[in-house]
Amino acid sequence: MNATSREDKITDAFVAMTDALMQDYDIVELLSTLLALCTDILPVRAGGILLVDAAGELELVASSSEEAAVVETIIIAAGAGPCIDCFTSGAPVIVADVAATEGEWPRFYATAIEQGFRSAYALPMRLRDEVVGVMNLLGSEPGTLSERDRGVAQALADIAVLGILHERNFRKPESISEQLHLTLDSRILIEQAKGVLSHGERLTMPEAFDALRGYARANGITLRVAAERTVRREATSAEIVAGYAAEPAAE
Amino acid sequence: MTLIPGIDHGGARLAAPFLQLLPIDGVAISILNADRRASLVHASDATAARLEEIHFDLGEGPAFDAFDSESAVLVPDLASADRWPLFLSDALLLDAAAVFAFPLAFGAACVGTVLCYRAQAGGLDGTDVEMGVNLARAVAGPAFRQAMILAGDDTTDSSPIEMRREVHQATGMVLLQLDVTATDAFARMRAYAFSHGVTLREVARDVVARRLDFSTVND
Repeated sequence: MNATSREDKITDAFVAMTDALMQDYDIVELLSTLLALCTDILPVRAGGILLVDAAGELELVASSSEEAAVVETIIIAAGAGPCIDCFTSGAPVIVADVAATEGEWPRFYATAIEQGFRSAYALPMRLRDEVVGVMNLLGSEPGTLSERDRGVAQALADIAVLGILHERNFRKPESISEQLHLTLDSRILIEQAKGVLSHGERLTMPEAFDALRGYARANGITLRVAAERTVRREATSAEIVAGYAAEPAAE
Repeated sequence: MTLIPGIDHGGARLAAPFLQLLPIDGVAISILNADRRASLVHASDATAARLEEIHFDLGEGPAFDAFDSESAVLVPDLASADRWPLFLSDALLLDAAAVFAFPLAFGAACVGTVLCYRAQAGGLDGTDVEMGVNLARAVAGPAFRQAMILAGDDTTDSSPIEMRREVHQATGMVLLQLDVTATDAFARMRAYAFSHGVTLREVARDVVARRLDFSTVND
């Protein structure tokens, strides 16, 4: 793996995304994979994608990790922090040193520092003239992204928008906002399914997500379908978790 | 239920896509709990508000059926319908000839209904029905938040955005604890929050932290 140069990784990432777009895929899964690529290619430790809902608020639909530390930091950044500022202005927001944000965003400052994040980047996800969401990246060290890294990050954010639109076009052309909201709805189902698995099999929420993902992959179904099966209890929590226990965290 | 239609701008924004994209004349969005105690989030006009109100006065109607069945209920011609005698006796006095009701689906849980009416009789085509179902999905979360704000509930919650994940996760846990659907699990959490004078978010947080288990709750 060390033999792979950074350039190759970037190329591979774009090829992988393009490949995914050619097939039927699950949008939450695709966005999660894309964020994992970001943490691999760019000098960041975690990332999340937020989309705007029908009331104009940002909702977290995918993250590089389901860990509470990551989820909480990004959600707070969407309330009062770099994400909401990026969404409102439509321009990237670069926080080179989180330590300098105490006056501006006290809660974001406190949470990010506590979770070990020292830098944050929020990039607008644009569709023509409209900002439909934000890609948020978090780094462990203070510092800014190089011009080049910024370009790579923005390109990945643009791919995320394509992924959201394209998935729906597989089914039928619908209004853009409807496409966004179906993505948000998938996320709700996934959270409900995580709850079922967490209670049924005594898993943490991140473990429950991994188990759900493993079940979806093993059965060739989307995360959304796996979540529906779980919540409607067409499969028992034990059945869904069975494959995960045998083959944990197959990343 | 005491709202004057048209002044709650948040609700109006949620209703606008239905009016723009479907061949209808009015719409009422309401959030229901398991006992069908409702909060009206928005009604676009007096007829829509009254159609919604009749449900609660008489205890029956297409919107209740949409909530119970978690699927769209279409009544292209009220004059020839016979399913809800009480509802129809009042509805037929209004300026409405057709009614279409869609469930507000919050993932797998149903939290309320969108009731649309048209002054002239006639059905919706397949595309319209699908549009209605998808729009109702899209506005379910925001409508629910709006209902909580209007009810004065959870207003101490400075960042409603943070509660959502826990509420959905808790819904999944409670449905297993009680062996019920997601809709019923969600309704039970709301009822518990209401009867204990705490917020839904606090209930959800306790469930997720395994401090509260509904299989051992008696209420």
